[in-house]
Amino acid sequence: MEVETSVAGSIKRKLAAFAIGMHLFFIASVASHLHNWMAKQPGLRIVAGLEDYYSAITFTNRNFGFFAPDVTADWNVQLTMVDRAGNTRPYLFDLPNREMKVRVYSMTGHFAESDTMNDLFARSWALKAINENPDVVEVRVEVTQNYIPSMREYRQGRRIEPKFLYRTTFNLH
Amino acid sequence: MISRVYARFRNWFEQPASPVPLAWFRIAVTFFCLIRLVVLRHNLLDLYGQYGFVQWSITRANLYEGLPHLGNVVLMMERLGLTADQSVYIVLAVYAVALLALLVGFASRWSAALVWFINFLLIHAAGGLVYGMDIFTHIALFYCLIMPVGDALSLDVRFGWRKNQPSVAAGVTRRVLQLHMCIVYFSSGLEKAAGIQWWNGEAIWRSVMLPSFAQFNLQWLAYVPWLPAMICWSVLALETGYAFFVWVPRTRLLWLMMMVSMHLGIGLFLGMWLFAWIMVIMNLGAFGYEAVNDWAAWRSRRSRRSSKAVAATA
Repeated sequence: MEVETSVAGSIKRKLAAFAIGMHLFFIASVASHLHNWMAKQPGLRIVAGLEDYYSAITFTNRNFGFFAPDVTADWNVQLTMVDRAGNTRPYLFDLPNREMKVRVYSMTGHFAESDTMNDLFARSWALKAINENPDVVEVRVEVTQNYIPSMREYRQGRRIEPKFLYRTTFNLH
Repeated sequence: MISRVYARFRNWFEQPASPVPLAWFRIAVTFFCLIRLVVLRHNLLDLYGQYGFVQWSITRANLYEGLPHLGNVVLMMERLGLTADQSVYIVLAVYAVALLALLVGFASRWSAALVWFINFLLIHAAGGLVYGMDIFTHIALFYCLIMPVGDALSLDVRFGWRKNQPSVAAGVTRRVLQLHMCIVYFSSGLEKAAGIQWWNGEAIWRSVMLPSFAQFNLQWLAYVPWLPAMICWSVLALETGYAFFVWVPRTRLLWLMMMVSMHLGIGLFLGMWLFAWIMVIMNLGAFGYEAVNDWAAWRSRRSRRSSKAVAATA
């Protein structure tokens, strides 16, 4: 009985050691960009795939370079709703506190990742506006990105200015 | 030689430790999650609902095959005649109750598992709107799941379901968290160092100028460019140095205090208070116990020295 217990204990310890080793390896692999290299190697793609799965479940092995290597400029989303009579009014996101503003910054960051994301997110915002305003038949989406002048440019008189990034229209007709 | 180093490493890594620091970590993380729910109370459906800012059809498509989505749970609840919005509110209510159970340490393992699973559903349902705070909260809950967080300051101990005693599990899992934090900061520091903005001060300038984040009028920084540059270099030194100086008893408390100050600074100047607090909790959860011991040791050394000085004068 004692032998069985010690064998079970030994197996348990080895499994725990393996799990901890894998956990730390996955974290270090993504943080060091080894993951990106492995994803390109046919023989190691499966390991990179495992890391992706582990990341999707635990979020422990992510790239932790926030605001790195550069600080990206933020975006402005403008939604304009058009009703059946052709009247227009803006649709504003309900952002009652700083926390939601930070989240919208994050959302527009995801929006700006690719053309596909542009369309998917714009469609999502337009649908939200239509759902909440049944009289609306059309939503115009416009996104601008703020140009942040460098310190030198600022001293020379340049100020923050929005630059056009994306525009689309969704209608129910 | 190698076997001696390995034995020393194992001895360091597998040293039994008190579960009390883990219990404080559990309490801090669950309290934080409850506060987060309160802060987000007006926008719960905007974040997690089927037709929120980012619809489930998009967040579901971005999730790996085989992983559950909040939409799957809601589909099951629809059979009970509940709408999608009602189901989301019920899931959030269960989340809050499980958080309360974990806070007081009632059935800690099960409540930690439930909290972590629902947090997983929520973080993916709000996929387009998550940022660093959500990521670290999920990581913290993952550690609450694997750590024996209910072995102290809990109802589990009071009911005799768990024993409040030092364990290898308590020591090992906190070591893992410590190593994790070191990797996080070291890689974050290196990633920042790869960008020119973190060397010429533009990163700090841009951060405080972004209309989404600006809390104060700091335009005068443009006329003292050395100041943002110094702050940038300090951030680089703090983050990359963390992995080394936090292990040295003489520098640990100082480094931890500087790191906590940096995160509180992010809260103050960028308005990211929830992010700031979860990072403070992660830092104190990882190294707070050692830092308190360092502080106590420093104080006793100091009092011994001053009593010796008094004796010498007498």
